[in-house]
Amino acid sequence: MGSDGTGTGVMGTELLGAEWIKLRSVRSTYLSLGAAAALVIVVALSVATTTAENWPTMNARDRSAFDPVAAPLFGAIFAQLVIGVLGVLVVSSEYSTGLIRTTFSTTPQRRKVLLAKVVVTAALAVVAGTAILGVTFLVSQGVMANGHGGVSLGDPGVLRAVAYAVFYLVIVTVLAASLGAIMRSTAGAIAVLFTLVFLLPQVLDHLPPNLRHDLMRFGLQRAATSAVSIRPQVDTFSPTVSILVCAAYAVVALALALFLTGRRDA
Amino acid sequence: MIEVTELTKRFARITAVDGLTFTVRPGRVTGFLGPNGSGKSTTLRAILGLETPDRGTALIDGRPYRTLHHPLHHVGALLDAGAVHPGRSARAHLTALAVASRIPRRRVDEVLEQVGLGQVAHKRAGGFSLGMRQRLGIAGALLGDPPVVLFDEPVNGLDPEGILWIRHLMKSLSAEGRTVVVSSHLMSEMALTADHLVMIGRGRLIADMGVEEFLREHGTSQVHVRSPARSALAGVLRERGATVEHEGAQTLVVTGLTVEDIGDLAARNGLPVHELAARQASLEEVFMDLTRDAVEYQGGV
Repeated sequence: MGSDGTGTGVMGTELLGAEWIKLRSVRSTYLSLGAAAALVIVVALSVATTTAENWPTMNARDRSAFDPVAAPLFGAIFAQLVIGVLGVLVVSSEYSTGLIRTTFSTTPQRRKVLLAKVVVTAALAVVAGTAILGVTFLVSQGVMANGHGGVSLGDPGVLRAVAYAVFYLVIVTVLAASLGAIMRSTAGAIAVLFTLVFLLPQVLDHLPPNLRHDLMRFGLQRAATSAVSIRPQVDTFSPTVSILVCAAYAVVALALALFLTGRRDA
Repeated sequence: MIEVTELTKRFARITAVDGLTFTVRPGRVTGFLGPNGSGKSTTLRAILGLETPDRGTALIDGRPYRTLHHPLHHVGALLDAGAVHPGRSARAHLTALAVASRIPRRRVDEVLEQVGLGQVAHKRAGGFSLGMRQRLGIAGALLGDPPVVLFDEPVNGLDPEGILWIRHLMKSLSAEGRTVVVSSHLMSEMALTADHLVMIGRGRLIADMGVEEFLREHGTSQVHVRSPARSALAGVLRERGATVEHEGAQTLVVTGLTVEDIGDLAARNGLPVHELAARQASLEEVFMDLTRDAVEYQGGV
């Protein structure tokens, strides 16, 4: 039973405009982006400073194991949840306040409304992610420059790794917004997001060895780490396949969210 | 015009709306009445396409809500005054609705002024009183200048001035030829505002008629008589078949005779009368009477 009306000509640009107004007119958007930026940059600075100090005394094996792109991004593991909460709230706050009824009676094309929310939030994640991770990269490589472990964007795989890091934040945003629509509750959606990001990989890591080697590479956290690494990882897919594995989580969640949003009563 | 036909909606084991049929016409205020839990909000949500009925239809000017192009131009609704993001300003909230419906942004300031929120347009809605949120919800309903407006319990939380304001607003909207529906569980409020009543209980239609017709049909009229010679007067009235009860020290409550009959009888018998007033049973009393069986939860009195 579809909710998308027939005979309507809602183009979608008005929905994107409306969702953009909603997103930028609440404080939580700025707070979560600011918190994510601070977290990522501070952690990156600290990792880069420590590495630069220790670099002269590190042995060759440690040096080759060090990933100059992935290691400073350690803070992104936590920042992704901050961004994720933002993505969840974009949808779930409308359910918790009852605003969703106003939204859906304003635009009965519910799937288009959800898509507009996802597109606008993802676009913000592209811009904010590029800015945050770009600054993080420049600052941390600056600290590690001049033979202290740093790399430049022109080095093999580096640009790809940084781009995939941005892409991964966008994937988490889409996944989170979809979970918000599926769960229709902030707490429920955040719980599922935590489970997918942190708990499910733990479960996969503790499977019997034969299964573990096949399955753990499908864990979100491991796939994300592989996607942003320039050093080969064990028990993972290539960076490109890994980022596609991550994207699959978001695509499946979004498809389910669109299906349910069209069917359910508001 | 709103046409609800054989509308039925079930939730798990509860049938919230059960074969409901009624029509709401433009140019008058229609009161949509029922006790709490009688299916009013479910019906309104079905009209707005928010809930899919199990059976039956709800049409706005002949079309299902979900097929309307940018529905705010056709129907404005106040469903739940709390339905605002507490961190968003009144203006931003309305601007998002306006943009989504391709309504010019200047309408936002117009409706904010109209509902008296012009001064606090930039303030976060989380700090608004319930009455201010009702006004913001009404501003949203008026945004698209729609020919049909639905207000679900609009006077909740309003102060006396706000209640007067909303009565006046609804009357002027209907005078402009719009279709106005106001739901309420307060019969007394409807008596002052509505021209027409659609009354439901347990999801079924109880009455669909004009307020005056409704009172004539269901109300019993009484006459209050104040007289220093009330015992003698009571005797005269009883002789003519009236039912007479004493109230207070000087007043008689008479059923079965008109004001004219009582005045004439008193004059003919030389009995002084200080006050003579017809009093209709209030809508409230009639409403309680009709819906007694339909009230879902009843407290022991």
